[in-house]
Amino acid sequence: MDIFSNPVQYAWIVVALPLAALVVNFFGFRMLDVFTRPKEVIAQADPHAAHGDDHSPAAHAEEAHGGHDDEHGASTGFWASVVGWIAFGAMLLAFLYACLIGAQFLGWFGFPSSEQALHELQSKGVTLHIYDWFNFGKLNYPIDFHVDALTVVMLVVVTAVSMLVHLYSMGYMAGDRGYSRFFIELSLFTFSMLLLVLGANFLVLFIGWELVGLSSYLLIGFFFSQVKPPEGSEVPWAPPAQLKAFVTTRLGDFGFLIGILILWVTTGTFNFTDLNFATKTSATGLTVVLATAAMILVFCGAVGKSAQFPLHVWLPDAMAGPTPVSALIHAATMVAAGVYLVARLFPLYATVAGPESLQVVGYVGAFTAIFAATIALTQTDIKGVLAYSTISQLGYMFAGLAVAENNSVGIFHLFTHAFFKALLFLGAGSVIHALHDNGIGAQNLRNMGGLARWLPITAFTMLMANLAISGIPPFSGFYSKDAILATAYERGYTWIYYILLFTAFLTAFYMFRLFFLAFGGRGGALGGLWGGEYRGVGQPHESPLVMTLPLMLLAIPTVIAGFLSYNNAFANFLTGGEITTPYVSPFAEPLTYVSIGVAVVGILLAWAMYGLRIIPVNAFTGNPIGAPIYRLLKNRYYIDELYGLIIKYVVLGLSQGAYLFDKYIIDGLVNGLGGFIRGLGGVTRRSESGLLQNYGAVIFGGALLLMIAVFFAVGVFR
Amino acid sequence: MVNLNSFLILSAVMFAIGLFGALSKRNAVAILMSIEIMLNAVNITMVAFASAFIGKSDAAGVAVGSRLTGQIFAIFIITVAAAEAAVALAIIIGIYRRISTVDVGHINLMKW
Repeated sequence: MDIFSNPVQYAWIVVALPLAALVVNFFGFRMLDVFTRPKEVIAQADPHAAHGDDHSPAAHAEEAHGGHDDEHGASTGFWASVVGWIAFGAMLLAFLYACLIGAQFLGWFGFPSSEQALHELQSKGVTLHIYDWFNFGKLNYPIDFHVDALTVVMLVVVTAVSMLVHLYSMGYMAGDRGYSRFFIELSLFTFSMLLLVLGANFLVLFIGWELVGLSSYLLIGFFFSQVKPPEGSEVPWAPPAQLKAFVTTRLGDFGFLIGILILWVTTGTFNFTDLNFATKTSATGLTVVLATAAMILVFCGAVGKSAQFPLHVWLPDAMAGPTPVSALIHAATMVAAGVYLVARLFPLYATVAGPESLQVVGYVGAFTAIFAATIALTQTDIKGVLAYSTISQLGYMFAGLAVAENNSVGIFHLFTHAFFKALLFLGAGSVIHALHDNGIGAQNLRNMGGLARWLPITAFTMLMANLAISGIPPFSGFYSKDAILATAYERGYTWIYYILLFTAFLTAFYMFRLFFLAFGGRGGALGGLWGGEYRGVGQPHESPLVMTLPLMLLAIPTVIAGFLSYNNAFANFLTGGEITTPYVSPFAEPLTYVSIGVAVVGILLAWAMYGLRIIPVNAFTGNPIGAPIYRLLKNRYYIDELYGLIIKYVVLGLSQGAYLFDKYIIDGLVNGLGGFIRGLGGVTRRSESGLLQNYGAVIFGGALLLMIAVFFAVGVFR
Repeated sequence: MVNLNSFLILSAVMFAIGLFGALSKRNAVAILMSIEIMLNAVNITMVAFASAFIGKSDAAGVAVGSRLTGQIFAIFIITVAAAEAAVALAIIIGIYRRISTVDVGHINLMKW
């Protein structure tokens, strides 16, 4: 069949599968689930027992959960599990099909007819015309998909992570009343993200972009009726968090939209291929200055979506969503949309626009990397550490895009990071699942310790991911991170290099701080690495196989994905074989040992402080210099408070002014006009007496006047 | 010298008196009488013109007063005025029975 012999031409199937699952589940099986599940018992919400933890298995359904409507029942209903299996099955098929497309791109299984066709496919890709949305004369708005190497990489990453998250959620969300709703929203999210990466023009991309925003809004606020967590808790509160995510990204989208419009007005096209390659040669109105401005504005959208400084504030709060959502949306895929956008438009950034545009990308990325890494040092919420680590790694990706001569370096980090960050989040979910006895403190690192004894699979896979993100060879993160550092140094971005190098040290430190606090501790095996004293309450337990299986599957690419960079394979694939520089093994460069050494120092420091405990924990924070810095970092540089003040005084002040203008000037004009008419009516209404005699008098008086006028006109009185 | 103008002036004066009465009187019967005066003023005009133009022709030689048009119209108006007076008086009596007044200032049931 053609579907299997030429899968690139049928790439829309990858998008259609989650959409089909969404439609079938939403209009079919969710209805059955809603109608057949037992009546909800409204639990009286006790604010003191408010459950900040986003999850709690069926075992303690009697506990007050902040009264969200998805009170955990005894078990997942039959129709709810049907919804879950359909969503998972669709994602599995989509993943397999994405792999098939990837195989065709690689020329495996004798796919392309000739060497020529393979080269054509790899270097140019294929554009699929789905249908014409609308045409007005010269304005065409086609719904087109474009499949090239970058798209294939994103398709495989998104479908793989999404598929595993679906599988994991079947265990994590088991027994939740919102089980079917959760899977429908996951399908919607995956569909939007796939639409985004497949879009051949800004129009399709923007539809996907906004749909991703919508589905993240829905998923972050999954527990939308959650009761406010107590004051001082680090756990974010779902209802405001979802609004915050939506509104903050919308700020970036404002610039994004203006950037798109500048590009469209000057070149008359939304198409990425035309924009990237035609604008180089053909004469358009796109001057260098305009292009630079447009690309920086487009980057604003990426800043919002990918949570870069100064619009990073939504991502830590987005941890209010269920943990699989954090893994899917806020580690592997949605935040990757911004990186993908810059990578997709990379030729525009690199060749059409001035060098300032990429410099902005690079410095914002590098600054965000170190900025978020310093905050991550002090967070005690396990998901909070991971959230700031995500922001930091996204900064790495932007810096990687900005310093390199093609987009392969940044995208390679996106590729490896997707796997190990999803693994980290799912592992954190497994930990939270194990610690539900701690109530609201289930996410707090202070209530953990020594968990490796009870959660060996989780601990081992998390250790793999920690080594990967810290940049220890041969784990995947080492290759991608080292590529960014090496490129930055070689291409003369010395500042970016040093910032990122220091960030690598911080990353290794805070990730292993998390590991030792959660899984190790005093008295554990291997110097506190494995097991140790447990500071929480209750009996932790390993998660079921349905949750640990995704962890183990994700551990595989976490370990081996880095080898794809061998012999420039990944870069060659992404650029269609344009790489001419010979491959140099990272181990041949002396600088590589500097970055490895920095990571090792970070790990050893964390080990000494939190595992062996030979350096007191307050060694840096207990002195007069360290304490204020610690407070600053602990409070996230007071950025949220600063934004609160800005909103309180500037935004509300402006809106107060606008309100007064509206009330007294605009309303004054309108009401004044109305009042004038009313007053006029008040005078003239006297003439309407209702007495016929008065009317008659007026009529005959008028007739008399007319008569006199006619007499004058014809000259009777002359 | 009694000519057409004298009749027309008489008619105009009567019409003005009737009009004044119809517009200024409050008593419904007086208004009715005033209207009769106006009708009679019109009748005088009709008859005056008819008798003034009888047997005359216009510039084109067409006879304009050859028939008793004016007089017949006057008779019609007298007939109609009699019928109207009968109906109007019946209404006024009906109103008087209902609200014990014929002052038009108080007859405001249909207002609003």
